[in-house]
Amino acid sequence: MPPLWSQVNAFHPQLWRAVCGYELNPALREELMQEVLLAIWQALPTLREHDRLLPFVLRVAHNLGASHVRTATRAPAPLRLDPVQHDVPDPATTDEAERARSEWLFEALVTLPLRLRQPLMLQLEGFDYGEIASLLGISQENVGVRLHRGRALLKTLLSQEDIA
Amino acid sequence: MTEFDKLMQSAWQTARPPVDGAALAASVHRTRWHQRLRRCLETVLTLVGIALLTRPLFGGATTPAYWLVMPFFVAYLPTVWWLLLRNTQPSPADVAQSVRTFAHTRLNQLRAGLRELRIARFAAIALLAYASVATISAFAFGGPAWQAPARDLLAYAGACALATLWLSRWQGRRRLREYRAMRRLT
Repeated sequence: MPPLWSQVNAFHPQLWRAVCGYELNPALREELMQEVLLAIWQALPTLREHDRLLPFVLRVAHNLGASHVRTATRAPAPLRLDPVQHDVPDPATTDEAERARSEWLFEALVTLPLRLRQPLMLQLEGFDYGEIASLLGISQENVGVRLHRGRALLKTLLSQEDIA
Repeated sequence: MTEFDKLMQSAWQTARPPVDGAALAASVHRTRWHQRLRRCLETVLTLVGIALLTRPLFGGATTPAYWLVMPFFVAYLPTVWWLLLRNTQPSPADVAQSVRTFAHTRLNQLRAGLRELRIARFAAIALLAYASVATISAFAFGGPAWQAPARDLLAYAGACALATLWLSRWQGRRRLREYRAMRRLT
């Protein structure tokens, strides 16, 4: 077992979110997650800076995710975001509303081009412009432009859902 | 942070893996074992092929079937091993690179993969052509001892060509789709 493998377990939620941004089918999501974990296992010995484990594992996830689009032939229509359900603070329905909102977000993300989707997903994960630029291998200015365009597209999708 | 950012952030953070970490780690171990078993099976099949090919060197009889099938092994085994060892999958070091670097590496690998599919198609058609010529020759000039193995060879070569063409078409489409996606990232 490679060193640091036990620490990778702590990053499963982050890896899962990255996987969800590339694949909507639940069975294929699990398959991709397994593929990502296997690649991380094999690549871990190449990691030099041990304190940079999260960017390292996310780099693997985004690389394999981008490569995985070969199976995604058609982008499905985004799920309806129900504002009535989202505004209800009842704890019994809050979980369901959050799940629906989360699914809507992933379905909306899948419709975005990869160049816009990747920086947006990394920003949602909490990375700053410099870290996103380093992960994607592009300049910070380019990250800014892509994020601006990606957010604008997401806002348009959200407003379309609100109108519908 | 705007209202939109808060909404997106909370939607993003909600997603959690449906299975626990231990189950995921166990499935990774299982996949690694499957990979090792598959590589062992490939090695055993190749050794069986080589044993059949070198049988006359160790006192085995050189029947018509042997003479007809020998070129099949001579062409087929090195081609299959070459395709396997060329390994068009990204290496562990590749997947840990930045997205842009990975996309460049992957594009090269996919180009090589598409070329290999063309070679596989060409090899299958060449083998089918050889089997056809061998069968026609066996029926025109050979006796019954040559005709039966020649007919078998033609059947194997036909099945092999059909399977290769189907696999190449299926793999080719997948690789092309991935190629187009990767090209947008470079």
